[in-house]
Amino acid sequence: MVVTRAVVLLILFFSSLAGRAQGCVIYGYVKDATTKESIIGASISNSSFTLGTSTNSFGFFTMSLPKCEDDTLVVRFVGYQAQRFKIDTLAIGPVEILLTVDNNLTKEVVITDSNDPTQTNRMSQLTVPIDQLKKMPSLFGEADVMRVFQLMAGVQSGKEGTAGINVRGGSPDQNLYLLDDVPLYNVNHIGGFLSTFDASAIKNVELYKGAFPARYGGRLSSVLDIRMKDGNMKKRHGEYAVGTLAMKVNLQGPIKQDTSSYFFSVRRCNFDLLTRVAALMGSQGEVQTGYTFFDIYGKVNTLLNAKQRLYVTVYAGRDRIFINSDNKAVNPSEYSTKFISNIAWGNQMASIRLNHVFSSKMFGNTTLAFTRYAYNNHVSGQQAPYGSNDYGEKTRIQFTSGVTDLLVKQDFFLQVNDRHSLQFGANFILHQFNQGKIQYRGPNAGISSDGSQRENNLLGLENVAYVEDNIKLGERTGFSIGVHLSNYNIQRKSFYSIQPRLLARRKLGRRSVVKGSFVTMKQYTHLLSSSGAGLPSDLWIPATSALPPSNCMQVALGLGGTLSEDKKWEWLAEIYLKKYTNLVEYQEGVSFFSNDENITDKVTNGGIGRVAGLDLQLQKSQGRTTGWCSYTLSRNDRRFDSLNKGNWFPFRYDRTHVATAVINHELNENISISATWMYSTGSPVTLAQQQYGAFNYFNYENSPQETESIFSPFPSAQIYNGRNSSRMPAYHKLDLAINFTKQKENGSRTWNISIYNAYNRQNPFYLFYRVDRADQRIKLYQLSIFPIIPSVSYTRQF
Amino acid sequence: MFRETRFLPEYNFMCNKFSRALTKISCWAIIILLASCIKEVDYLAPPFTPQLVLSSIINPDSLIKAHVGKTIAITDTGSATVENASVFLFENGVPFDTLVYQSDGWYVSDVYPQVGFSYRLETHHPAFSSVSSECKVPPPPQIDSLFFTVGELLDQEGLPITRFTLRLNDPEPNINYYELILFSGNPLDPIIQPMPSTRIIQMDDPTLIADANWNYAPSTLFFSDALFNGMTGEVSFNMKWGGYPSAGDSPYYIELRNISSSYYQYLKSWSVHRFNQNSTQNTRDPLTLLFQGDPVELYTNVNNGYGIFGAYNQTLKQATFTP
Repeated sequence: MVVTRAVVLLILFFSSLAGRAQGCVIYGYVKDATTKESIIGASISNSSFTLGTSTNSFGFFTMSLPKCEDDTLVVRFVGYQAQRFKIDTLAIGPVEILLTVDNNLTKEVVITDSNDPTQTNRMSQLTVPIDQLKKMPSLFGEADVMRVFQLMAGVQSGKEGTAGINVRGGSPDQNLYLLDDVPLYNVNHIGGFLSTFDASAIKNVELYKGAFPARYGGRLSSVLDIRMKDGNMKKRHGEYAVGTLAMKVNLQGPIKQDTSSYFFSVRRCNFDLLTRVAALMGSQGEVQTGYTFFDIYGKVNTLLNAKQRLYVTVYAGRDRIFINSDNKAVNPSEYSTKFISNIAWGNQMASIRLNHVFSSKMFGNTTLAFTRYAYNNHVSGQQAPYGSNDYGEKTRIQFTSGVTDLLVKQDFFLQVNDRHSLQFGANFILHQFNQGKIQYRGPNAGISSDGSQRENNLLGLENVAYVEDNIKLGERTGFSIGVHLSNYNIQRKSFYSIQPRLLARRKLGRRSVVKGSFVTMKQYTHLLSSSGAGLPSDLWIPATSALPPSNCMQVALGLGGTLSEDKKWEWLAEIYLKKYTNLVEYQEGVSFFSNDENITDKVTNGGIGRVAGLDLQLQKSQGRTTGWCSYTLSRNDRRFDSLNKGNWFPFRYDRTHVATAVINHELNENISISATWMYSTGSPVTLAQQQYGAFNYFNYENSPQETESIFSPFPSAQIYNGRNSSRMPAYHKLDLAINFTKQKENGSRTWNISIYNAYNRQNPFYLFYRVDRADQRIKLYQLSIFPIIPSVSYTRQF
Repeated sequence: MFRETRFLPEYNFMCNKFSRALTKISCWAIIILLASCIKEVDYLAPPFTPQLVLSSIINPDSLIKAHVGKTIAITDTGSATVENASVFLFENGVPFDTLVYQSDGWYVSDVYPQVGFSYRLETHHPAFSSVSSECKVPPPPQIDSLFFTVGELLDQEGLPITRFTLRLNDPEPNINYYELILFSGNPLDPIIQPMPSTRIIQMDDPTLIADANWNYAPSTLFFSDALFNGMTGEVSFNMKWGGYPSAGDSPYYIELRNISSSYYQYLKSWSVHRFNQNSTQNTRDPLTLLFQGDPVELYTNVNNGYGIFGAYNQTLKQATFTP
C-alpha cells in the first residue's frame, strides 16, 4: 500500500509539471511493410527535427505537437527507407506507418542509440542489428548476440570462449535478462560457450550498462532487453540452418492475415550424436555418455480490436548430460552393475501480454508470466550377482535446485505534452527458491539419521512501482527523472528500497552532446558461483536477513556525437564510477561441492566493491564498410572482512585494458566479409608464489619416513601473497567470417564460413602447478580450450 | 514416486560426488573435442625474501623437538630445511633451554613440557629474520565413556555401520579444543594402529559438522566444545563396516587429545588449505582444480615467519562394544 500510494503521489507530481497547452497528438504503430512486424525503436520526428519520439517495445508511439497544420512526420529506422507523412493526411485514431526495407548497400549499422544520440534521453545503451549479427564470425557456426556485446566498450567476457557478459565490472548474475518482459535466470548453455538466445528468434535486443530507466530493476549491473519476433502477418516464411554445433528451424506466418500471426523456432545441439558414437566405440558398448541442449521459442499474437493486442510467448530450453553404463561381471567375486546418471538444467518461461491503447496519449501493457530455472541431477544404480539377471530394486538419488517466479506486471506510457512523457507501472513477483533438495529411494530408504536437513524452499514476494518523466527543455536540453520503488518480503523480513534514476542531457554545438546520469540498483537474489565458468552447479539463493540484498550506485558522465553532418562516424566517451555494498561471496576455500548443511555457512556477506572506468567507442555506421573499435580502461576491486585478511583485492572480472575492433565489408550483393579482434589484460588469479613444508603431525607420528606428497610429514604449503594478486597472460584473438548469399526462387540461402581464433592464440582458461615428471620440477601450466576453430553453417530461408 | 527423506549426509555427499564427476566428464568430453591444450607458461615470480618456518607440536610425554625450515620459491625443489639456527626455549617467560641440532632440520631439547606451563620458542639465524612462537600445554582430556554399536544403521549398500559414541567431561568454562584418533588392533596384540580417517563416514554429529571440516578430508577428527562448554559432551561418528566383534573383545581404541588453540586453528586451516591448492600435487586431474574454492593461506602462530607451535595432552581408551 505504501508503494501504491507513493506511485500515485509521484504521478500527480510529474503530471503537475506538464502545464503546457496541448496541440495535436499523433499516435499509432510503425511496422515493416512486408511482414507487418512492429518495429522497435523507430524514430519519429517533425520536419524540422526539433521534436521527436521513438516507438516502444511494441512498436507504438505517441507524439504531441504544438500544431499540426502543414507539418510532416519523418519516420526512420536502421535498414529501412525513411518515410515522410503529411500529418493532415493521417487518419484519426491509431495510425499504422509502414516502412520498406532499404536494399542498397549503404544501410546503417547502429550500435549505440537507434536515434540521434544528441537528441535522446538515453545513455550507456547498446543495441545490435540482428541481420548484422548473423554475418559476423561465430564459434561453431552459431551466431550469438552475447558475443557481439562482448566486443563493445564496457562489456567483457568472463572466461575464454564464454558467452556470458560482465558489464562495467559486474558479475554475470548482476545482469537482468528479459525475454519479452520476463526475466530468465540462466542464459548459458554448458560452460557458457553459447547463450540460450537463438539469433533467429530475436527481433530486437538492447543492453543498458548504466543510466537505467526506472522501469528496470532487480539487478545491479545491466539490463539485456530481448524481444522475440512476432511472426509475419502477411505470408508464411521459414528458415532452417545446419551448423557444426547445432541445427535449427523456424516457421512464421499469419494465422489470420493482418490480424494474427505465429512464430515458432527450435534449435538443437549436435554434440550428443558425436559423443554417443565416441563413447560406444571407446567402451565396447558398455558406456554411453553425451551432452545436448535444445531451445524452443513460440509466440502468437492477435489483434483483438483496434486498441488491443494480445501476445502469448513461451520459451523452453534445457541442457542435458547423461551417462548410461552397463557392466557385466566377469568373475564370481564381482557384481554386474547398471548405472544411469542425468544432469539436466534449463529455463521455462510463458507469458501473456495485453496491449491497450487507452487514448491518443496513453498506452498500457499488462503481463502475466511464469519463469523457472531448474537443475536436476538424477542418479540410479542396480546390481546383480555374477551370472544373474536379477538386478533387484534400483537405488535412486535425485538432487534438485532452482528458482520459480510468478509475475504480474502493469506498465503505462503517457504522453503528457510535447515536453513531457511519463512511464509508470507496478509489478508483483512471487519467487520460490529451491536451494537444493535431495530425495532418495531404494532398498534402504528407511535409513534416517539425526542430521539436520537444511530449509530447502523459500518464498519471497517482490513488489515494485516506478515512474519516470522524460522532459525536454528546448532543443538542447533534456532530463529523465525517475524513481524505482521496491519492497521484498521473505522469512517475515521486509526490505524496502527507493532507487532514484536521473539523467541529464545538453547538446553542445551541432554534433556533440554531454550526458550525465546517476542511478542506484538493488538486487534481491544472489548467485553462488564456484568457478565463474557458468556451470550448471551455480546456485541462486534469495536475499534474507542473514544475506541482505546487494546494492549498487553508478555515476556516469559521457560525451558523444558525430564527426560529420552525414553521421557516418560516431564517437562516444563515458567515464563511470560504481560502488557496491552488501555483496556476497563464497567463504575462502568453500565451493558448491562443499557439503555444509546450511547455505549461509558457505558464504560471506557485507562485501563492498568499487569500479572506475572509461569507455571509448568510435564507429562507422554507413557505407559498404562499417564497424567500430572500442577501448575500456577500468579498475574493479572488492573487499570483504573475512576474505584476504580484510584487504581490497582485484575482482575476478577485473581487466585493466580491453580493446576491440570490428569490421564488416560488403564485397557485393552476395558476398560479405567480417573480422573481429579482441584484446584484454589477463584475468586476476590467486597463484602460489612461495612454498614451505607444513608440519603434518599425524603423518609425522605414523609415517615419519614417508616423503611422497600428502603422506609426508612436511607436505607443501603454499604462500599466495593475497587473493587475485597474480595475472594470467593477456587474452587476444582474431575471428574471421565470410558469407555467401544467393537469392533463390522462393527465398535465399547463405553459407557462413567462420574461423574462430584465426591466428591460433592459446589463451589461458586457467593456470595450475604440476610436477614435470621428466625433471621432477614444479612448473606452471595453462589450460587452453579453444584453438583455431573453423566452422561452416548453411542457412536456407524460404 | 519419490518420497522426501531426512537423508543421511553421505547421500548428500554422494550426489555432490556424482554431480562433480559428471560435470567433469562432460567438460572433459567437450574440452577433448575442442582439442584442448595444456602448455607450460613462463612465470616470473616476484622476488621475495625467504622466511623461517618453525614447526613443533609438544606434549608432556615427549621431549620438546622443533623443526626449522625456510620458504622457497614455488617452483623450487631444493631443500627447505635450515641448519645452524639457534633455537631457544622459554618456560613461563624465563629462558630455559637451547635446542640442539639433530639432523634434517630437527632441533631437540631434553625437556619434557609440563601441564599448564607456557613455552616459547625463539629461532635466530643470520640469514633470516628471527621468529618466535608461544603455546601452553593443556591438561589431559577426561573421557567419561566410550562405546560402539554395530548394525543400528545401514549404509547405502545395506552393510552394517559401526557407530562410536564418546562422552567426555569438559572441565573448564573457557573454550577447549580436541583431536580424536581412532586406533584398531588385535585384542591379543598390544600394538594398535591408527585407522585412516577415510574409514569414517556419515558425519551427522552436530559438533563434528560444525567443526571437523569433513568436506576437506582431514587426517584426524578435531572439534571444539562450543556446544557443550563446561558440561559433559557427547560426540558420535560412524565407520564403514568392520565386522562384528566377538563377545567381550573390542578391537577399537580412541586417543582423545586436548589441543591448544593454535594447533586447532592450524589443523582446521591445513585441511582447507591443502584441499584448495592450485596444483596437481594431490590430484593428477587438472580439471578438478576448476571446481575448488579459492586458495586459502595456511594459519600460522609464528611471529615474523611461518609454521606452527602447538601443544596437546592425550588420553587413550578402549571402546566398549554394546550389542
